[in-house]
Amino acid sequence: MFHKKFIILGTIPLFTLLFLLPSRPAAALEKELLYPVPHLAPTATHTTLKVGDPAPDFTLPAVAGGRVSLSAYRGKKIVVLSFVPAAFTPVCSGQWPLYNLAQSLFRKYHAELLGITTDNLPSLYAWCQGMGKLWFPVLSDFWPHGAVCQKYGILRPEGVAERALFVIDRQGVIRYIDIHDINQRPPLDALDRALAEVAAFPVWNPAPQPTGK
Amino acid sequence: MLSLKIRLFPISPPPGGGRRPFAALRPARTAILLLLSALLTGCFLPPASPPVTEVLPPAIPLPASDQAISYLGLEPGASAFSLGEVEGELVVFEIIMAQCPHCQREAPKINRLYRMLREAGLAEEVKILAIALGNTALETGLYRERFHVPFPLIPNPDGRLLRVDGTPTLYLVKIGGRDTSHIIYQGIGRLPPAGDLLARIRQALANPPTRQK
Repeated sequence: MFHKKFIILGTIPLFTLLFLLPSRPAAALEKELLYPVPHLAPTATHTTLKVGDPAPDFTLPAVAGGRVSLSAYRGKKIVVLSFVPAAFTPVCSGQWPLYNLAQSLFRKYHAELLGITTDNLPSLYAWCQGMGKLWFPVLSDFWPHGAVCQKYGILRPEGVAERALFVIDRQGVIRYIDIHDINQRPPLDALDRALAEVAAFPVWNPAPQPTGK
Repeated sequence: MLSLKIRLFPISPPPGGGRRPFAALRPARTAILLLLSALLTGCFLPPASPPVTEVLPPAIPLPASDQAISYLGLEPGASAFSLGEVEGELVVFEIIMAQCPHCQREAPKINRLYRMLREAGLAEEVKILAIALGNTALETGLYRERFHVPFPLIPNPDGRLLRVDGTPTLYLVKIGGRDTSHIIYQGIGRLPPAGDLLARIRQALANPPTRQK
Protein backbone atom coordinates (compact mmCIF):
# COMPACT_ATOMS: atom_id res chain seq x y z
CA MET A 1 0.00 0.00 0.00
CA PHE A 2 2.76 2.37 0.97
CA HIS A 3 4.38 1.65 -2.37
CA LYS A 4 1.30 2.53 -4.36
CA LYS A 5 0.63 5.70 -2.45
CA PHE A 6 4.21 6.82 -2.76
CA ILE A 7 4.18 6.16 -6.50
CA ILE A 8 0.88 7.99 -6.98
CA LEU A 9 1.99 11.00 -4.96
CA GLY A 10 5.37 11.03 -6.61
CA THR A 11 3.85 11.07 -10.07
CA ILE A 12 1.81 14.22 -9.36
CA PRO A 13 4.80 16.58 -9.61
CA LEU A 14 6.32 14.49 -12.36
CA PHE A 15 3.27 14.71 -14.61
CA THR A 16 2.75 18.33 -13.75
CA LEU A 17 6.30 18.99 -14.86
CA LEU A 18 5.82 17.05 -18.05
CA PHE A 19 2.80 19.16 -18.91
CA LEU A 20 4.22 22.46 -17.86
CA LEU A 21 7.80 22.35 -19.08
CA PRO A 22 6.89 22.43 -22.79
CA SER A 23 5.06 25.69 -22.16
CA ARG A 24 8.31 27.44 -21.31
CA PRO A 25 8.99 30.12 -23.88
CA ALA A 26 10.73 28.43 -26.77
CA ALA A 27 12.09 31.76 -27.90
CA ALA A 28 13.92 32.07 -24.59
CA LEU A 29 15.49 28.66 -25.09
CA GLU A 30 16.60 29.67 -28.54
CA LYS A 31 18.20 32.83 -27.18
CA GLU A 32 20.16 30.73 -24.72
CA LEU A 33 21.58 28.69 -27.58
CA LEU A 34 22.62 31.65 -29.68
CA TYR A 35 25.90 33.43 -29.15
CA PRO A 36 25.28 37.13 -28.57
CA VAL A 37 27.19 39.08 -31.18
CA PRO A 38 27.98 42.76 -30.66
CA HIS A 39 27.54 45.24 -33.49
CA LEU A 40 30.35 44.65 -35.98
CA ALA A 41 31.86 46.66 -38.79
CA PRO A 42 29.33 46.16 -41.61
CA THR A 43 32.01 44.82 -43.96
CA ALA A 44 35.72 44.27 -43.43
CA THR A 45 36.96 43.11 -46.84
CA HIS A 46 37.17 44.35 -50.41
CA THR A 47 36.63 41.58 -52.91
CA THR A 48 38.27 41.95 -56.26
CA LEU A 49 35.62 39.78 -57.88
CA LYS A 50 33.01 41.59 -59.92
CA VAL A 51 29.94 40.77 -61.95
CA GLY A 52 31.04 39.12 -65.20
CA ASP A 53 34.03 37.32 -63.65
CA PRO A 54 34.16 33.53 -63.69
CA ALA A 55 33.24 32.15 -60.27
CA PRO A 56 36.27 30.53 -58.59
CA ASP A 57 35.70 26.80 -58.40
CA PHE A 58 35.89 24.93 -55.10
CA THR A 59 35.18 21.59 -53.50
CA LEU A 60 34.05 21.51 -49.88
CA PRO A 61 32.80 18.88 -47.44
CA ALA A 62 29.04 18.91 -46.84
CA VAL A 63 27.19 18.41 -43.56
CA ALA A 64 25.10 15.72 -45.23
CA GLY A 65 28.27 13.84 -46.19
CA GLY A 66 30.46 13.78 -49.26
CA ARG A 67 31.99 16.76 -51.01
CA VAL A 68 30.34 19.33 -53.24
CA SER A 69 32.03 21.07 -56.16
CA LEU A 70 30.75 24.26 -57.71
CA SER A 71 31.77 23.00 -61.17
CA ALA A 72 29.29 20.11 -60.82
CA TYR A 73 26.47 22.59 -61.47
CA ARG A 74 27.99 24.17 -64.58
CA GLY A 75 25.65 23.90 -67.53
CA LYS A 76 22.88 22.60 -65.28
CA LYS A 77 21.74 25.14 -62.73
CA ILE A 78 22.02 28.68 -61.52
CA VAL A 79 23.91 28.61 -58.23
CA VAL A 80 23.46 30.92 -55.25
CA LEU A 81 26.34 30.94 -52.79
CA SER A 82 25.25 32.14 -49.37
CA PHE A 83 28.24 32.81 -47.13
CA VAL A 84 27.34 33.54 -43.52
CA PRO A 85 29.73 34.42 -40.70
CA ALA A 86 29.09 31.83 -38.02
CA ALA A 87 26.86 29.08 -36.72
CA PHE A 88 24.75 29.74 -33.62
CA THR A 89 24.63 33.49 -34.13
CA PRO A 90 21.35 35.43 -34.29
CA VAL A 91 21.26 36.86 -37.83
CA CYS A 92 22.63 33.74 -39.52
CA SER A 93 20.11 31.64 -37.59
CA GLY A 94 17.33 33.64 -39.25
CA GLN A 95 18.79 33.88 -42.75
CA TRP A 96 19.03 30.19 -43.57
CA PRO A 97 15.65 29.18 -42.08
CA LEU A 98 14.19 31.84 -44.36
CA TYR A 99 15.92 30.24 -47.36
CA ASN A 100 14.60 26.95 -46.12
CA LEU A 101 11.13 28.44 -46.36
CA ALA A 102 11.88 29.81 -49.82
CA GLN A 103 12.62 26.49 -51.52
CA SER A 104 9.82 27.07 -54.03
CA LEU A 105 11.39 30.38 -55.02
CA PHE A 106 14.75 28.78 -55.78
CA ARG A 107 13.05 25.94 -57.63
CA LYS A 108 11.11 28.45 -59.72
CA TYR A 109 14.39 29.77 -61.11
CA HIS A 110 16.02 26.32 -61.33
CA ALA A 111 18.60 27.55 -58.88
CA GLU A 112 20.64 25.61 -56.36
CA LEU A 113 21.62 27.17 -53.07
CA LEU A 114 24.89 26.36 -51.33
CA GLY A 115 25.33 27.56 -47.75
CA ILE A 116 28.93 28.09 -46.64
CA THR A 117 30.57 29.08 -43.36
CA THR A 118 34.06 28.69 -41.91
CA ASP A 119 32.72 26.54 -39.05
CA ASN A 120 33.79 22.92 -38.80
CA LEU A 121 31.43 20.10 -39.76
CA PRO A 122 30.39 19.00 -36.24
CA SER A 123 29.39 22.56 -35.29
CA LEU A 124 27.51 23.00 -38.54
CA TYR A 125 25.79 19.67 -38.03
CA ALA A 126 24.53 20.67 -34.56
CA TRP A 127 23.41 24.07 -35.81
CA CYS A 128 21.55 22.59 -38.78
CA GLN A 129 19.80 20.15 -36.46
CA GLY A 130 18.58 23.13 -34.44
CA MET A 131 17.29 24.93 -37.52
CA GLY A 132 15.33 21.93 -38.76
CA LYS A 133 15.88 19.98 -41.92
CA LEU A 134 17.50 22.25 -44.51
CA TRP A 135 16.88 21.38 -48.14
CA PHE A 136 20.14 22.87 -49.44
CA PRO A 137 23.72 21.64 -48.97
CA VAL A 138 25.61 23.23 -46.11
CA LEU A 139 29.36 23.28 -46.69
CA SER A 140 32.27 23.75 -44.33
CA ASP A 141 35.15 26.02 -45.32
CA PHE A 142 36.95 25.21 -42.09
CA TRP A 143 40.18 23.70 -43.39
CA PRO A 144 42.35 25.07 -44.88
CA HIS A 145 40.63 27.72 -42.86
CA GLY A 146 38.49 30.02 -45.00
CA ALA A 147 40.29 29.08 -48.22
CA VAL A 148 37.14 29.43 -50.36
CA CYS A 149 36.15 32.65 -48.62
CA GLN A 150 39.61 33.94 -49.40
CA LYS A 151 39.19 32.99 -53.10
CA TYR A 152 36.02 35.07 -53.12
CA GLY A 153 37.73 37.89 -51.21
CA ILE A 154 35.33 37.78 -48.28
CA LEU A 155 37.37 36.32 -45.41
CA ARG A 156 37.22 38.85 -42.60
CA PRO A 157 40.29 39.41 -40.42
CA GLU A 158 38.59 37.57 -37.55
CA GLY A 159 38.50 34.40 -39.69
CA VAL A 160 34.81 34.36 -40.61
CA ALA A 161 33.04 35.01 -43.89
CA GLU A 162 31.25 38.18 -44.76
CA ARG A 163 27.49 37.88 -45.05
CA ALA A 164 27.70 37.55 -48.83
CA LEU A 165 25.57 36.35 -51.70
CA PHE A 166 26.86 35.42 -55.14
CA VAL A 167 24.56 34.41 -57.98
CA ILE A 168 26.34 32.36 -60.63
CA ASP A 169 24.76 31.59 -63.99
CA ARG A 170 24.81 28.22 -65.71
CA GLN A 171 28.03 29.11 -67.48
CA GLY A 172 29.78 29.64 -64.17
CA VAL A 173 29.88 33.42 -64.41
CA ILE A 174 29.09 35.69 -61.46
CA ARG A 175 25.97 37.74 -62.19
CA TYR A 176 25.16 39.24 -58.79
CA ILE A 177 27.18 40.10 -55.70
CA ASP A 178 25.84 41.34 -52.38
CA ILE A 179 28.43 41.80 -49.66
CA HIS A 180 25.82 42.66 -47.09
CA ASP A 181 26.05 44.45 -43.77
CA ILE A 182 27.10 41.59 -41.48
CA ASN A 183 24.68 42.82 -38.79
CA GLN A 184 21.59 42.50 -40.96
CA ARG A 185 19.75 39.76 -42.78
CA PRO A 186 19.54 40.46 -46.53
CA PRO A 187 15.88 40.71 -47.53
CA LEU A 188 14.84 37.92 -49.83
CA ASP A 189 13.39 40.40 -52.31
CA ALA A 190 16.76 41.55 -53.67
CA LEU A 191 17.86 37.96 -54.24
CA ASP A 192 14.52 37.19 -55.90
CA ARG A 193 15.01 40.07 -58.32
CA ALA A 194 18.58 38.99 -59.05
CA LEU A 195 17.51 35.41 -59.72
CA ALA A 196 14.67 36.57 -61.96
CA GLU A 197 17.09 38.66 -63.98
CA VAL A 198 19.67 35.89 -64.33
CA ALA A 199 17.04 33.28 -65.19
CA ALA A 200 15.45 35.52 -67.80
CA PHE A 201 18.69 36.16 -69.67
CA PRO A 202 19.03 33.33 -72.21
CA VAL A 203 22.66 34.04 -73.14
CA TRP A 204 23.67 33.61 -69.52
CA ASN A 205 21.60 30.49 -69.17
CA PRO A 206 21.63 28.29 -72.25
CA ALA A 207 19.28 25.37 -71.89
CA PRO A 208 21.05 22.36 -70.41
CA GLN A 209 22.37 20.08 -73.17
CA PRO A 210 20.81 16.63 -73.21
CA THR A 211 23.31 13.94 -72.35
CA GLY A 212 23.82 10.78 -74.43
CA LYS A 213 23.29 10.61 -78.20
CA MET B 1 18.86 -11.21 -7.95
CA LEU B 2 19.16 -13.18 -4.75
CA SER B 3 21.66 -10.84 -3.23
CA LEU B 4 19.50 -7.87 -4.23
CA LYS B 5 16.50 -9.33 -2.48
CA ILE B 6 18.52 -9.77 0.62
CA ARG B 7 19.76 -6.22 0.60
CA LEU B 8 16.37 -4.60 -0.01
CA PHE B 9 14.53 -3.39 3.02
CA PRO B 10 11.37 -5.54 3.47
CA ILE B 11 8.36 -3.24 3.34
CA SER B 12 5.60 -5.71 2.51
CA PRO B 13 3.21 -6.53 5.39
CA PRO B 14 4.59 -9.19 7.65
CA PRO B 15 3.07 -12.64 7.28
CA GLY B 16 -0.06 -13.06 9.35
CA GLY B 17 -1.24 -9.48 8.74
CA GLY B 18 0.47 -8.04 11.77
CA ARG B 19 -0.13 -4.40 12.54
CA ARG B 20 2.50 -2.10 11.02
CA PRO B 21 4.60 0.05 13.26
CA PHE B 22 3.65 3.76 13.20
CA ALA B 23 0.21 2.90 11.78
CA ALA B 24 -1.29 5.73 13.79
CA LEU B 25 0.88 8.18 11.89
CA ARG B 26 -0.40 7.13 8.48
CA PRO B 27 -2.84 10.00 7.98
CA ALA B 28 -0.12 12.45 8.96
CA ARG B 29 2.31 10.78 6.62
CA THR B 30 -0.16 11.05 3.76
CA ALA B 31 -0.66 14.71 4.50
CA ILE B 32 3.09 15.32 4.59
CA LEU B 33 3.57 13.50 1.32
CA LEU B 34 0.81 15.54 -0.29
CA LEU B 35 2.37 18.74 1.00
CA LEU B 36 5.81 17.74 -0.23
CA SER B 37 4.39 16.80 -3.58
CA ALA B 38 2.69 20.19 -3.88
CA LEU B 39 5.87 21.99 -2.78
CA LEU B 40 7.98 20.04 -5.25
CA THR B 41 5.57 20.88 -8.04
CA GLY B 42 5.63 24.54 -7.09
CA CYS B 43 9.43 24.64 -7.13
CA PHE B 44 9.53 23.59 -10.77
CA LEU B 45 6.63 25.63 -12.06
CA PRO B 46 7.67 27.95 -14.88
CA PRO B 47 7.53 31.63 -14.07
CA ALA B 48 4.14 33.25 -14.47
CA SER B 49 3.34 34.76 -17.86
CA PRO B 50 5.20 38.01 -18.26
CA PRO B 51 3.16 41.08 -17.45
CA VAL B 52 1.57 42.83 -20.36
CA THR B 53 3.92 45.71 -20.90
CA GLU B 54 3.69 46.03 -24.63
CA VAL B 55 1.11 48.31 -26.08
CA LEU B 56 -0.79 46.82 -28.95
CA PRO B 57 -0.20 48.74 -32.15
CA PRO B 58 -2.67 51.59 -32.62
CA ALA B 59 -2.35 51.50 -36.41
CA ILE B 60 -1.88 48.24 -38.27
CA PRO B 61 -1.56 48.51 -42.06
CA LEU B 62 -4.62 47.25 -43.89
CA PRO B 63 -4.18 43.76 -45.35
CA ALA B 64 -3.49 43.67 -49.07
CA SER B 65 -6.27 41.27 -50.03
CA ASP B 66 -9.96 42.18 -50.21
CA GLN B 67 -10.77 38.80 -48.72
CA ALA B 68 -8.74 39.60 -45.60
CA ILE B 69 -10.30 43.05 -45.29
CA SER B 70 -13.75 41.53 -45.57
CA TYR B 71 -12.94 38.77 -43.05
CA LEU B 72 -11.86 41.40 -40.49
CA GLY B 73 -14.85 43.60 -41.30
CA LEU B 74 -12.72 46.67 -42.03
CA GLU B 75 -13.32 49.72 -44.17
CA PRO B 76 -11.67 49.00 -47.55
CA GLY B 77 -10.54 52.59 -48.11
CA ALA B 78 -8.61 53.01 -44.85
CA SER B 79 -4.83 52.73 -44.74
CA ALA B 80 -4.60 51.41 -41.20
CA PHE B 81 -6.77 50.02 -38.42
CA SER B 82 -6.62 49.18 -34.72
CA LEU B 83 -7.61 45.85 -33.22
CA GLY B 84 -10.63 47.52 -31.64
CA GLU B 85 -12.01 48.15 -35.10
CA VAL B 86 -12.04 44.49 -36.06
CA GLU B 87 -15.55 43.13 -36.43
CA GLY B 88 -16.26 40.57 -33.76
CA GLU B 89 -15.86 40.10 -30.03
CA LEU B 90 -12.36 38.74 -29.75
CA VAL B 91 -9.16 38.79 -31.81
CA VAL B 92 -6.47 36.14 -31.72
CA PHE B 93 -3.45 38.30 -32.51
CA GLU B 94 -0.25 36.48 -33.35
CA ILE B 95 3.20 37.97 -33.93
CA ILE B 96 5.56 35.81 -35.96
CA MET B 97 8.75 36.04 -37.97
CA ALA B 98 8.74 33.96 -41.13
CA GLN B 99 12.27 32.71 -40.49
CA CYS B 100 11.60 31.73 -36.87
CA PRO B 101 11.70 27.92 -36.58
CA HIS B 102 9.38 28.03 -33.55
CA CYS B 103 6.79 30.02 -35.50
CA GLN B 104 7.05 27.51 -38.33
CA ARG B 105 6.59 24.62 -35.91
CA GLU B 106 3.60 26.25 -34.22
CA ALA B 107 1.89 27.32 -37.46
CA PRO B 108 -0.35 24.23 -37.73
CA LYS B 109 -1.65 24.88 -34.21
CA ILE B 110 -3.11 28.28 -35.13
CA ASN B 111 -4.47 26.87 -38.37
CA ARG B 112 -6.18 24.19 -36.28
CA LEU B 113 -7.63 26.87 -34.01
CA TYR B 114 -9.00 28.66 -37.08
CA ARG B 115 -10.73 25.45 -38.19
CA MET B 116 -12.03 24.74 -34.69
CA LEU B 117 -13.51 28.23 -34.44
CA ARG B 118 -15.36 27.69 -37.68
CA GLU B 119 -16.60 24.29 -36.59
CA ALA B 120 -17.75 25.75 -33.28
CA GLY B 121 -19.72 28.45 -35.08
CA LEU B 122 -17.47 31.18 -33.64
CA ALA B 123 -15.99 32.42 -36.92
CA GLU B 124 -17.98 35.66 -36.74
CA GLU B 125 -17.26 36.41 -33.10
CA VAL B 126 -13.57 35.49 -33.12
CA LYS B 127 -11.08 36.64 -35.75
CA ILE B 128 -7.48 35.59 -36.18
CA LEU B 129 -4.88 38.05 -37.37
CA ALA B 130 -1.11 37.70 -37.59
CA ILE B 131 1.78 40.08 -38.17
CA ALA B 132 5.05 38.98 -39.77
CA LEU B 133 7.51 41.18 -37.92
CA GLY B 134 10.51 42.29 -40.00
CA ASN B 135 9.35 40.39 -43.07
CA THR B 136 8.65 41.71 -46.53
CA ALA B 137 5.53 40.86 -48.50
CA LEU B 138 7.50 38.25 -50.44
CA GLU B 139 8.78 36.56 -47.28
CA THR B 140 5.35 36.68 -45.69
CA GLY B 141 3.80 35.20 -48.83
CA LEU B 142 6.24 32.28 -48.75
CA TYR B 143 5.30 31.58 -45.12
CA ARG B 144 1.60 31.80 -45.96
CA GLU B 145 2.06 29.47 -48.91
CA ARG B 146 4.17 26.90 -47.06
CA PHE B 147 1.91 26.69 -44.01
CA HIS B 148 -1.41 27.27 -45.78
CA VAL B 149 -2.28 30.16 -43.47
CA PRO B 150 -6.03 30.69 -43.84
CA PHE B 151 -6.28 33.99 -41.90
CA PRO B 152 -4.83 37.45 -42.63
CA LEU B 153 -1.05 37.63 -42.21
CA ILE B 154 0.27 41.16 -42.59
CA PRO B 155 3.93 41.90 -43.40
CA ASN B 156 5.76 44.50 -41.34
CA PRO B 157 9.11 44.92 -43.15
CA ASP B 158 10.70 47.42 -40.77
CA GLY B 159 9.67 45.36 -37.73
CA ARG B 160 8.63 48.44 -35.80
CA LEU B 161 4.91 47.80 -35.44
CA LEU B 162 5.33 46.52 -31.90
CA ARG B 163 8.00 45.16 -29.61
CA VAL B 164 7.89 41.58 -28.41
CA ASP B 165 10.29 39.54 -26.30
CA GLY B 166 10.19 36.58 -28.68
CA THR B 167 8.21 34.90 -31.40
CA PRO B 168 5.67 33.58 -31.74
CA THR B 169 3.81 35.87 -29.36
CA LEU B 170 0.08 35.35 -29.03
CA TYR B 171 -2.49 37.72 -27.62
CA LEU B 172 -6.16 37.12 -27.07
CA VAL B 173 -7.78 40.53 -27.21
CA LYS B 174 -11.39 41.07 -26.15
CA ILE B 175 -12.71 43.80 -28.36
CA GLY B 176 -14.53 46.63 -26.74
CA GLY B 177 -14.01 49.42 -29.22
CA ARG B 178 -10.96 51.44 -30.17
CA ASP B 179 -9.96 52.44 -26.62
CA THR B 180 -11.46 49.73 -24.48
CA SER B 181 -10.03 46.51 -25.83
CA HIS B 182 -8.50 44.21 -23.25
CA ILE B 183 -5.70 41.72 -23.49
CA ILE B 184 -6.99 38.63 -21.75
CA TYR B 185 -4.08 36.36 -22.55
CA GLN B 186 -0.49 36.71 -23.67
CA GLY B 187 1.87 33.86 -24.44
CA ILE B 188 5.40 33.78 -25.82
CA GLY B 189 7.06 30.82 -27.48
CA ARG B 190 5.40 27.47 -27.74
CA LEU B 191 1.65 27.86 -27.89
CA PRO B 192 -0.95 25.98 -25.85
CA PRO B 193 -2.89 23.31 -27.77
CA ALA B 194 -5.62 24.69 -30.01
CA GLY B 195 -8.27 23.06 -27.80
CA ASP B 196 -6.96 24.91 -24.74
CA LEU B 197 -6.99 28.19 -26.62
CA LEU B 198 -10.55 27.53 -27.74
CA ALA B 199 -11.53 26.87 -24.12
CA ARG B 200 -9.97 30.18 -23.05
CA ILE B 201 -11.79 31.93 -25.87
CA ARG B 202 -15.13 30.41 -24.89
CA GLN B 203 -14.54 31.45 -21.29
CA ALA B 204 -13.63 34.99 -22.36
CA LEU B 205 -16.72 35.25 -24.51
CA ALA B 206 -18.88 34.09 -21.62
CA ASN B 207 -17.31 36.43 -19.04
CA PRO B 208 -16.86 40.17 -19.02
CA PRO B 209 -13.20 41.13 -19.56
CA THR B 210 -10.88 41.78 -16.66
CA ARG B 211 -8.15 44.26 -17.40
CA GLN B 212 -4.65 42.97 -16.67
CA LYS B 213 -2.42 45.25 -14.71
